[in-house]
Amino acid sequence: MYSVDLSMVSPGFERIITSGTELEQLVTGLIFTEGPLWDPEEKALIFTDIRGNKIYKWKEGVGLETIYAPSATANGLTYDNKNRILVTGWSSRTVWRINSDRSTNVLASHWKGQKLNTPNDIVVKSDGTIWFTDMFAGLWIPGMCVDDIQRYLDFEGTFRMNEDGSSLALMVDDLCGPNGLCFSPDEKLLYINESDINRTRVWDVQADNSLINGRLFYQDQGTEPGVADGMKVDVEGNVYITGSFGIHVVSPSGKLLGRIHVPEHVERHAANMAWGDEDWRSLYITARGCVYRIRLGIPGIPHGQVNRQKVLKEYSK
Amino acid sequence: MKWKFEKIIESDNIPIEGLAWNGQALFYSQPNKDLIFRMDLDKKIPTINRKYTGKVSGLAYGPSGEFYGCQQFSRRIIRMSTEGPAWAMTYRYDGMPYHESFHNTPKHITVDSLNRIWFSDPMHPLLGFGPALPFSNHQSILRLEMQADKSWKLIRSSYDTTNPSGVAVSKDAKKLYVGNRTNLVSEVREYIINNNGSLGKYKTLLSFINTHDDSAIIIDGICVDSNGRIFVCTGSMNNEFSSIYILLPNGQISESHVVPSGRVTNCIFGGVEMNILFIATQNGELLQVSNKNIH
Repeated sequence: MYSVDLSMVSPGFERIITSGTELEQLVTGLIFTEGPLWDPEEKALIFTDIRGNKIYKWKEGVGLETIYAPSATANGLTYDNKNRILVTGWSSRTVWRINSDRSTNVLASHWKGQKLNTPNDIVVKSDGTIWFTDMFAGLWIPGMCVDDIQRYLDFEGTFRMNEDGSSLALMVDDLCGPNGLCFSPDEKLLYINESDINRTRVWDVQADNSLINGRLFYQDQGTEPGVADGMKVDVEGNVYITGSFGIHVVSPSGKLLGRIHVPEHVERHAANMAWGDEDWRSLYITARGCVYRIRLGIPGIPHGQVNRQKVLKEYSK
Repeated sequence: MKWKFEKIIESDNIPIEGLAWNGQALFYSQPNKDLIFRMDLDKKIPTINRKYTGKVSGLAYGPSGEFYGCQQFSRRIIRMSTEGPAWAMTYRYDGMPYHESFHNTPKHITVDSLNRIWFSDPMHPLLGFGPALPFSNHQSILRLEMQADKSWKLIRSSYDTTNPSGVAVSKDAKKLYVGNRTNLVSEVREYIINNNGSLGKYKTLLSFINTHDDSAIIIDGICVDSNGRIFVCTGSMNNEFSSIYILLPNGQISESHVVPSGRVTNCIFGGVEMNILFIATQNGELLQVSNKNIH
């Protein structure tokens, strides 16, 4: 248990987190944790260990359980609208789905006949469309990609496709290390992190799901370890971005509200986050070998449309 | 005899590193551009063979045409198909904790007649890509040996190198030649290769005093000819003393030739009769020497 360390705090940040809040370490001893996903029925956190090549489930009072291995160095996770787990797989260079009977389907593997780079993070819009980033880092990071490590695409992009993998469309092609992505609560904005330059861009999402007006949303100016990796939003539209020091909480207007420190050891900075627990006010954080949890004052937008609708409805009361 | 150098590629100040001859064409790497080029002798116009190489430096062909590269960015040896896929070979030592098991930054590579892959593994200041992994506590010559199940095993071969560079193996696979830099000298070492692949003690064949400045002579790539002579690439960081030294199998210096270019990074034999010596330099020139006395 750590007493959380905050920095660059703006007035009002105490609504989100108070200085006495504690950061719990739930899991340690893994290699590279990512893709956290809360399962409200099981009351458990599902997450990946990319280099460890496994998908785990962690449950309070029970501990850690391997639920899928080898995972083809699975990275990001989310739910589709039928509550099936979607996976961005680094070594497989695909986006794939785990069905309820544990069978799998590949949803995306190529763009115009060329293999994708290494799909990194993934999000599903309420209309069921699947959006994912495709950076090339997985090809070059040792231990991430075990099959063909050749890069073929001349860009790092963000793609969109239908729930069944059809109609794959390239949405953005000028990104530098596209990584975490998420929609604003009303889904009128799409945020994408660019890890290589530690910044976040935002686009207006049109009714036909096209993107316009791409612009800089936030630039991480910190010098501490950490990069713009995972990203999530809370119900008020505040954006939580991993970065220097730990996690940056940024207002919808792009103003830094404060930074939450996530303890880093050797290169163990925060990689991604997921909202969880009954009230969706716990933020679960994957950070290299560890998983942490912190309680926050505002609930977040969870993975899965049922969960999302529920929390938005609850919050609007 | 004075060599006549023919310039194939003019300098663009992008270092050329790896050189490999596949029996038909010359391949060379430009790590800083993430490129590997192919040049057919009849055309003499290089074409891009592979993009996005991850700063591949050393190149080598195996006896059955396997194409290997030292992927510096990813700190691993890779095997490449002719044009398409590439695969990571082993990059970790067995039986070690994960974060302590990675080797350093492979630089030069050669494949001996027994299909063992030898490579130098210095701690390059260029950090590996992605979340950092600790470097080894040694800078060694490593080798990959194929196991009965066709997997490759990574084995540490040298225990006394400090900053290894060029590697070459004699035709009979009984001697390993290594460029190594210590605090005191830059030298070419000859190791006896024991029957089990381990290395015996070394003897120094060529040595330059380390002056600890940009004028210090560095030994880089090494290759051998069919007569067992050892060709050593040298030069300094300020691009002086660019030379090829030729050593006889007994270690005596036979010849040395000043190369009219920047620091010599690598050399390899090629051509139909294997009597063309291709020479790569730090300032991005590719030269050739055709000579009936070398092959």
